[in-house]
Amino acid sequence: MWDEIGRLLPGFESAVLTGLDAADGYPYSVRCLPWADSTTRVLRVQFPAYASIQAGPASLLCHEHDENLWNLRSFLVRGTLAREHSEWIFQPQRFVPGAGVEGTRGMVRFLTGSRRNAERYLQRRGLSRPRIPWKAINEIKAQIKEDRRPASVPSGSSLGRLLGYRPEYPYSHGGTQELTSREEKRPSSASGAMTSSIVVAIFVALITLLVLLRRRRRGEK
Amino acid sequence: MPSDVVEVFREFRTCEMSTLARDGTPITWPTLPFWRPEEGRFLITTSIGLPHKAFNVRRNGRVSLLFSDPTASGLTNPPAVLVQGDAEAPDKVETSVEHFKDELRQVLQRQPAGGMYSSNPFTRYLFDWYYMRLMIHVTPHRILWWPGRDFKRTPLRVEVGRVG
Repeated sequence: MWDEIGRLLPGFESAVLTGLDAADGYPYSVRCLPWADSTTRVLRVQFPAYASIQAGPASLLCHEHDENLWNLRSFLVRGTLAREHSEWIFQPQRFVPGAGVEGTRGMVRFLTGSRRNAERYLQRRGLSRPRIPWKAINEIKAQIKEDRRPASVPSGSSLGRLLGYRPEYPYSHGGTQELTSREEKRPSSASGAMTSSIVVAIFVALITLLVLLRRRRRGEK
Repeated sequence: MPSDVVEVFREFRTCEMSTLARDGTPITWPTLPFWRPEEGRFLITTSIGLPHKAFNVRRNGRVSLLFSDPTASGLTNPPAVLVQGDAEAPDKVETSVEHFKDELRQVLQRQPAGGMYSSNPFTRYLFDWYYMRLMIHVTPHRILWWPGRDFKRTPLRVEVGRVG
């Protein structure tokens, strides 16, 4: 766990530390700059005097996204908070990976885990899998596409690329922009579709392989 | 409420939502907040594929929303805002977009790559759970804000009776 924290923490500008409000027990969060003390394997934090956070259970979140609310990265550490002289000590107890910090393996785990959670949620309530109104959703997408001229394409979404997705109505704050020459040279929809098919096939094969490996491991146990 | 605080509610792409786990640990994850001024409360949604924050809310309704990351908001030097409030998470799976069109439109505008979830039969199969949503309503109890997102300063605050 400490290795994960040490590897990932420097990649974020700041962190959100949350404890309990000493006044009434509501969660209380502040942005802070934790310092990783590798000798004692704790995170040291300076709190302003006003912060009415009580010692006890706490968590530390690091997260970021880009201008298009994509390329999400996050992780959470559960732990406890204690006061030591003029500073606070966060003692990590459990590392919880979020989006974008565990590569393809984490992405597949997130996807399969979420599907499994959803199935379980429905099963426990005796509900059948509801139908999603894809037509209505895609109509909203089409309206947005009509409202906007293409702007800059969100960059580097590994999940999107793996699934063969090409944004059709990119959005950026402050209005539309012209296509850059680089974006104009993107492949035609035909070659794009072929590429999409290939990456989708690779993705399916990858998931199948992971499922088979998991079953084999279970069988060995 | 000061207008710059309301602007933060409207324009920030994410907030950090904290709920209380079974053992009392505050668990914080980024989420997309929707401020509904006509109701005086926030709407947060989560998929049944990621239902833990709804489970936490059903056990203990005390939550907080920290607005501290202005990325993509277009705001110049906005404050950071902490909303402490009481949440409800009814056990009803929503899939209809009829009463959620404005919010869905906003999400698709702000997160264009999220459109891939519905872009072809394969992704619709993989991500249908994403559109099976639980609603979480958060009614503010107390609001604190730090001008200039300067957490070294004592925050300004307003109690619930004056929120609006």
